[in-house]
Amino acid sequence: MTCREMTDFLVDYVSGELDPAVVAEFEPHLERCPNCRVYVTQYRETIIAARLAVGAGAASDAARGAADRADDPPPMPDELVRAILNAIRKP
Amino acid sequence: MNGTPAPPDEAALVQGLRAGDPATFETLIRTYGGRLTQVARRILFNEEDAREVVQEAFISAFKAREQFSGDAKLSTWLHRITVNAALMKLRSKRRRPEEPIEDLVPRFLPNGRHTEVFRSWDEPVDVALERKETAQFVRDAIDRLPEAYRTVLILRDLQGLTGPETAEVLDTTVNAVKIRLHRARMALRTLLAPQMEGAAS
Repeated sequence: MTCREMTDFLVDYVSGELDPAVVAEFEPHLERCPNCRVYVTQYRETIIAARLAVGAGAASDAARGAADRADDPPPMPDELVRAILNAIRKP
Repeated sequence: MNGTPAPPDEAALVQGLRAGDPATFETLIRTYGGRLTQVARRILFNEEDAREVVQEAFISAFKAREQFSGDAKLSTWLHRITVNAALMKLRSKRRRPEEPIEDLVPRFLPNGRHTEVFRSWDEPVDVALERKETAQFVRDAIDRLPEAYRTVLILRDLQGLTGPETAEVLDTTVNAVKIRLHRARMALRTLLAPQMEGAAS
């Protein structure tokens, strides 16, 4: 497996959807290729950084099965709800 | 969607919506409004714009209620209206030309190796992100991504929509979403690297 192929497969690897036969080729490549090791780590960390930066919590892609409580949005303010309801009542 | 409590009864809501029942509509607003405002806020990075867009989206949804067939989930339908409204607003405010995604993703040699040697980020990201400047830098970097890629990153990685849900919201294929998400993440990594490489020093 080349670095290019590995990079192409990354999205499925990180989500846990990669075919096990392909995963089996991933690990040996990572063992011999420090550059890809760094890249895979940074790819994952980029996702975490983006989530933290917007206040979505730090749950990684793989761990997102459970709802990330840090990310529950506040409820709509009453005045906004009323403004919308008033707007739709107009003929 | 992640974290949203299941609405009382989707079928009853759909019926009430199509009948134009104000009480049902209020329930819809209160059930989904928070999450939709959050999506709009993340696309627009502006609270006032986000609220305006969500208002517009709910009003559009009400006007289009009879066209809602119930094939999609209410949540998906509302997300689609909101995302479209947010993107229209974003485009109307578009400040600078987009950097082409090609300039931001890794390149490879004919033998399949990366052209670039990647330097480690010594500091764990959760520590780095405790600093306000770093968090702002990351938000600015997300903002620099070309629109189509940015939107998918927001919906998938930040809002936690699934691939199929995102494809429905954006009216595209699951595969297109996956490719865009991957390229968005790679581009974002490229944009973050200069900041993260120097962080621990």
